[in-house]
Amino acid sequence: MHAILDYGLGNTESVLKALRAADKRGVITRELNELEQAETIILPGVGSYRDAMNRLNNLSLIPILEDLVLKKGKKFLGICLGMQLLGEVGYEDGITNGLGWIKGAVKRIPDVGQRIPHMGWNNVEVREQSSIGQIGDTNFYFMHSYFFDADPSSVTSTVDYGLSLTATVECKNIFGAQFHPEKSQESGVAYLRYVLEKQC
Amino acid sequence: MKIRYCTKCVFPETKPDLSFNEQGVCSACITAEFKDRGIDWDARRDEFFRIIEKHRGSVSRAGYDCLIPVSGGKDSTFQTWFMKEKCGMNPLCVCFETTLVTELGRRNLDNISRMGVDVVHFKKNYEAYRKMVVESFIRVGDEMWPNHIGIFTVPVTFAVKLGIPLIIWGENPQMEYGSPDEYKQMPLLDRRWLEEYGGLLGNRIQDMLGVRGLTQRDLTPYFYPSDQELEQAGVRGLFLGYYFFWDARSQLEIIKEHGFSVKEDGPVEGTYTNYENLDEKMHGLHDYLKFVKYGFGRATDHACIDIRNKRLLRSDAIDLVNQYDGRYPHESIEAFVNYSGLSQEEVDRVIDSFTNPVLFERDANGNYAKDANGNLKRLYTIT
Amino acid sequence: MLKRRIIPFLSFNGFALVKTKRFRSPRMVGNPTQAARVYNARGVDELILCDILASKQGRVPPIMMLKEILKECFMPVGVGGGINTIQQISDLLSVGADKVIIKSLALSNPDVLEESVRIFGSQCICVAIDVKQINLKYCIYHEGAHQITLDDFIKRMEDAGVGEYMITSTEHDGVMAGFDLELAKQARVLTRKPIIFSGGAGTPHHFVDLFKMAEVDAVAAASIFHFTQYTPLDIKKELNKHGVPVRLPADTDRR
Repeated sequence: MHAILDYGLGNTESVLKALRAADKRGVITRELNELEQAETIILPGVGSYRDAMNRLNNLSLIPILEDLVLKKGKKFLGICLGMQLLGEVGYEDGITNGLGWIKGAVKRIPDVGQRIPHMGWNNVEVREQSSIGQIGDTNFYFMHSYFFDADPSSVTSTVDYGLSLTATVECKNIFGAQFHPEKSQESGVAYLRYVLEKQC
Repeated sequence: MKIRYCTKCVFPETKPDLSFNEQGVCSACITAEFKDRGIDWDARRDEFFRIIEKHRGSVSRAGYDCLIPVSGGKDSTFQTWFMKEKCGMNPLCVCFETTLVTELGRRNLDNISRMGVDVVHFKKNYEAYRKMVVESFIRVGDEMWPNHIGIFTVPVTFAVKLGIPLIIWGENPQMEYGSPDEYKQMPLLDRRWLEEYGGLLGNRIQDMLGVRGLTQRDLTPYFYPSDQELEQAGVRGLFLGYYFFWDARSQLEIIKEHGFSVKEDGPVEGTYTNYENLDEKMHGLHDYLKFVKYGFGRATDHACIDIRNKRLLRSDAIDLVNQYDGRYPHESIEAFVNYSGLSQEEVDRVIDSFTNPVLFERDANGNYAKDANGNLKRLYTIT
Repeated sequence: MLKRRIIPFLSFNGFALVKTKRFRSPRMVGNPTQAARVYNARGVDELILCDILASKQGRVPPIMMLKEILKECFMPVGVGGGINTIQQISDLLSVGADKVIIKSLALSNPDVLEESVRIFGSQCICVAIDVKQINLKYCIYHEGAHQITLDDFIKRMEDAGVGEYMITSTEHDGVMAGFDLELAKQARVLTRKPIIFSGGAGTPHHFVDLFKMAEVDAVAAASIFHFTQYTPLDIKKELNKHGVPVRLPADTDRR
């Protein structure tokens, strides 16, 4: 069972549907015992950085997540904003501290003549050493104006948008995707399978 | 839920492609009036005979004057009789085998060759076709989808390959059942007509590639000839119903004298008539799916035609529709369960997924309420 | 490389799918569930679902019905029609919409629009602009009125921070004779946000012309998919032949 964290933000139903397509069982929850029992905690997110961190704080979820993910090593996947929250700080709508589990900051996509938001299907470039390369089709659906300028050691793939933006991060049991695997059809399902089945 | 009905017939506003005028009369009735008064049928008849004259006398490579797509039903039996006996043509009839033929359908198809014409009976690749039936039932809520492609494509391919440039289709459905204005006066059935009006529901044949392992080769007969092939062969398809006043009941009397049999033991499932859709065991399911999506079924279609041809009063039509429309088609569904390999529960789940929540009552759990016979409960009344 | 998107546009009347011609005489063309399943099977880039009569008829978004349709959708979906409040946007997102398409509200209440951008992020808010040419000037068409020019309106929307535009030529809607290329070119100059262009698609070649002539990011189309043999994949194959970047399925050769 994989838990999709219900914190009032994010397209939880879509993620659940994608899990089903990947033949995985999922539950939308913020109940402690369900989070404890889950193989993976998935943090979806649509909205602003500040709002998302406030909600996690107000629901007192941060100490629980830190205990389960950092101390006990439970697998964690952040999607889009959920991935950006892994960073140390976000510069959307002011300055907000993130979870700080992966080094780096979330910044507005620099203007190099491309359209912002970065919206649509783009193919990711996999770093040589990453096992994410086992996914066949590398086209994923992106919709974002901010990106995670993460520590290069944790970046497993990037997306070329005039400049190279972080597409996925991986650090031991912690995974993150800037794109929406739950909206990326077959390639998204393949990515979810990859994350959920990987031994860490 | 209040549905507006045509003030002359019993078509509802939920019917695709139907529109109403300020007096609340539907486009099908307006066309019917036009058929009665506004069309110079003599001129159209003369035009038709002018066209076919050019084709008479074995002009085609294959030696036939024209091609008639047939099912063995009342329309195609009439078309055959008309072209052979009234026009003195030498037609080749082409039948795309229906999904699950009835005994009566088989007899009526045999009857066509007994009328003195040659018939090609195209028996489709059973498994390839069955896969499309199951997929289209689930995907677009119509198990007859591959049949629609087959009946409108295979005869055209034969016409192209055999070099028979003239195809004679039957009624013009846009004239009988209503549609946007610009199409009512179309004498031709072409590719665009098939894709727009052929009942394909936005699903195209190329969408079936890869489904349950289907390949391009499996689907060979279902791909329409290219524009280039059609042009080279000079093929064009005419609606007989454009050139001659179409009246199902009087045509029926003619063809009955030429060996056509109707269903003698009661009406066809889903309606009150016994002369149409006789050839297909699962036709009731097709009509029922239309009912759950739009709130009207085959009895409505027939009642409207009978009203327009002045054989039925509107008040009696409402009674007939209430009695026959939208009854859960037990016979068809039993046949479909056996044919498709889906269970009854799976079939019902798919039907429910196409059922319009605005039209039918649901229980507290969000499931559709059904009576002891499995019939849905309407949230609207026919007025 | 970011791909150009081909987006089937499903217009809806609260009951079934409808298609207009020049924004008039909505013609009922089918059941939304069947359309969603067809486009799922096709793996389309994105889908737009709009209740085009909601604002006009004073209805709110039909959330329950949309939820049923969205359940079927595996692709990103933009939903529009009758959206007036932040709560409605939140409800639509929670039943599976990925972005919302806003039209009337952008004209009547830009403050709420601005607020929605702040709460949900600009990528979530797409503004639909229906354009008609009046005295050689492109103007916004809404409920029969067109006082604002396209230039002024886009300036306002840029200030509000919206993330995307869907620009439709009302005179080309449903006609299937090609796009208003001049409008596409003019709109491109006015914004650097993604533009979904619409109105006039009838053949795959119309798409090639558009993408060659104007740098729009996506096309929304309806009639061509309802009424002709062409599928989004047929269009993308044609675009690919002409060097326009599109996403093609791995097994394209066999399709």
